[in-house]
Amino acid sequence: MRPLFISNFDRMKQFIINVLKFSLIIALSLFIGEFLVRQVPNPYTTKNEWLSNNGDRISTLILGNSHSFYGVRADLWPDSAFNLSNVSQQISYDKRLLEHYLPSMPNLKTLIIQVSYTTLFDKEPEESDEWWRCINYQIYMHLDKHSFFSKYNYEFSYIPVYASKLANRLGLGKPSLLCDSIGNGLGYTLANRSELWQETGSKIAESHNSCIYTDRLSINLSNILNIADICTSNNIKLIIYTQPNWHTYRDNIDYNHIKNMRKSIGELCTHTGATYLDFYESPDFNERDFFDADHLTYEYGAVKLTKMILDSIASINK
Amino acid sequence: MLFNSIEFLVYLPIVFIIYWIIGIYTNSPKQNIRYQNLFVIFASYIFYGWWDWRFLSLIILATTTSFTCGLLLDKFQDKTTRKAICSFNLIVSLGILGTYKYYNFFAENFSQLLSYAGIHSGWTTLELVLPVGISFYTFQTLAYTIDVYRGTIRATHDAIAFFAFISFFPQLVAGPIERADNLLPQFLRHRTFDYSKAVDGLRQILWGLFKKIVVADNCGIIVDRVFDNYQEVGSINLLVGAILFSFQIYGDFSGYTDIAIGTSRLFGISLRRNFNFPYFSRDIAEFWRKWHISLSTWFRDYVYIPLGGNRKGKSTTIRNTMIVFVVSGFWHGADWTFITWGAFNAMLFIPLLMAGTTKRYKGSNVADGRILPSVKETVMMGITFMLVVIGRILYRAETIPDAIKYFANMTSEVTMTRPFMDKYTAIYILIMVIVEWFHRNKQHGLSIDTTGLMKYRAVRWCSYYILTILILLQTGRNEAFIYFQF
Repeated sequence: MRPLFISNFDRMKQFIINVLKFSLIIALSLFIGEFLVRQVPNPYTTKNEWLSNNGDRISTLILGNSHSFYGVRADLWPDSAFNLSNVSQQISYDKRLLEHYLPSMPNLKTLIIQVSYTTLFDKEPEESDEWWRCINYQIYMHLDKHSFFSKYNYEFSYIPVYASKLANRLGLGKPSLLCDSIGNGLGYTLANRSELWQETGSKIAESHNSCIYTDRLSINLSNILNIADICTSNNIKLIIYTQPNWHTYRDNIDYNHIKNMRKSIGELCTHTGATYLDFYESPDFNERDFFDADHLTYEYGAVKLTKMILDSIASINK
Repeated sequence: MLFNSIEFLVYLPIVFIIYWIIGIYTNSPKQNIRYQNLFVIFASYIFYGWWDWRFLSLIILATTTSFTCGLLLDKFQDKTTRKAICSFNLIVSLGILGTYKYYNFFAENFSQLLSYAGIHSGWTTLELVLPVGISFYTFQTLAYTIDVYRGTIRATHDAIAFFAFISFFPQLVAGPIERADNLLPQFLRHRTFDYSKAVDGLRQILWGLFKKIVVADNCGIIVDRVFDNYQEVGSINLLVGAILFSFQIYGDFSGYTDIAIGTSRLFGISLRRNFNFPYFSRDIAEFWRKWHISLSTWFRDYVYIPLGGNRKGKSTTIRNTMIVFVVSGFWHGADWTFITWGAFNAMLFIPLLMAGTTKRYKGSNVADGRILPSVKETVMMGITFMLVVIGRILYRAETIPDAIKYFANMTSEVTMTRPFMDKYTAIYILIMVIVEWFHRNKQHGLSIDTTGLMKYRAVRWCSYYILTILILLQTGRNEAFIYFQF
């Protein structure tokens, strides 16, 4: 039976072919770009490669978000330590990473987890505005949380970051995130600090205040509990810490949530035998220790904090 | 599902191909129409049910009631019975709309009123989710019944065509509010694929996506920050925020309409125009002839004219105009801010009415036959635009006191805090304004004459690719369309 619209059938075929041609060029460009973008060095690839080859050397592992990515110096540990923190990494991914890499770290003795103001109240990362960071874990760390057809398997799922990485690959830009071979974040130095760094405090606090979801407390606490259970089962000492912040940040935070966080972590530590180190209002940090109101400088603040954590661990072990 | 989502990107080609392939397996034009309409209903209900399948029952109820009332109006000729049938449909349709959209507003305000008299009523509000598109399809079904009642159209006996007419997915959730005399006949006759219309439809979709994703969503980021913190923001930024909101709502709503109209053309269906480059208007009357045309003509035909229109003297005309604007404001949302916004627009319109100049620019376009507007036209457009911007403050603010404070802070003294505007948003707005200016006599911003450079496919495709790249660079946010909340 010939189509009733036979006089237009050829035109419709032509239409579909032209649309396919147009779309094919876009699709091809995206996939070629995807191939190029995956060659761009990034902290996730660096960390995955190092852990895969040297995991058995690690005795201390650091997990957390940008506060520990930039704020703790794994290179200053007396024994072998590794910084597995990443920018905006949430506690659910801390847990996943620990589960994923633990088999390759048979000598792990200490786990340091950073808990910040928003940690216990964060949304699931896939539901947040920075959902696209989950792509890095899927592709470069092989966490395999999502199916093959999911958007988390493709860099081009989030074009703005994809375009920036592609530009970097083609030599038109520079990478935004750098880390050294043992995972410490680079770039947050005193020389790179903005003159208006103190003023960032209220703006960052305001954005953090808008990221508080109190209904997430129990889920995030249970993630930490699961981490504690893993540590207990594997004879790993768990240390939880909260990083220091500049007063312009602290002054604009809802203190009720800080109290809630401290209470919850305190109870958890009592229950699990973990140790909590609270540097949130520590007076030992001065201006040159801060890169911005809630991140430390690589050469001063991170060094100081690392030493303070090491001193605390030493006194616990006595 | 949203037009700017991956789901729609997968859904549309599948629906398109099945829709046209249906013709291969039918034996007659009548069968072809029937099966295509059935498929439209099926596909449209999937589209609508993607939000919440429970709301399908409401649209099916509204459609069934309207269709049945149409049949009854056809059967009964005596005036009393016909009036009763039409009233019944009005009650059902407005009842559904009133319950879901306005119940809580009336309950809260009634309780408040009683409390001023010292009476505590105990009226409780309901936790109701507003079904997407309810304001649009309700008006569409009402218009059909009223038209049949008036005798301006005959009732259709083709239920499948009627259901397809109401549920047709491109216009289902945010208009244009279609009329039976335009859209229904298209579901009663054979559709043929038109290559040039389909290509132009794709261009219109592309332009709509650009306005929504690139212009509106970027404006929205700044607008949210300004309006959420207006007490701390300087007057210049408050003005910028109000202006950007005007561009946001235009980009969002006209962008949606362009996608809806462009999508319809892929299926051989023509929807009514809903926007005619309203920000190039020289006065408020012209603005309201060019903004959300399907809604303003609906209110003209079913509220203004039945109230007497302009046939009963100037004071009645003014009264009727005020009623239409206030009700139109109320249609937008169950909030005093929308009602006040409607009244504000009425206050802008009424002086033109009294001066008899509402139709001064009817039938003509700004800078007709010229590339650039005259100084006078530029000033007129600027004034009209700023009046619209002031009204938008009421539209966007949470409460009337917020709107008043916003306006007061904006106009009290010139202060500058850290600028919120970024250069890319300004560039995107400029691109939109320039493109639409040069196509202001056409159907949409990307209506291309294949003359000059545009006759070369490489040039045309280059411009499409540039727009596509700009759109892709902004994806990942999936912001809903503003008018979905109505």
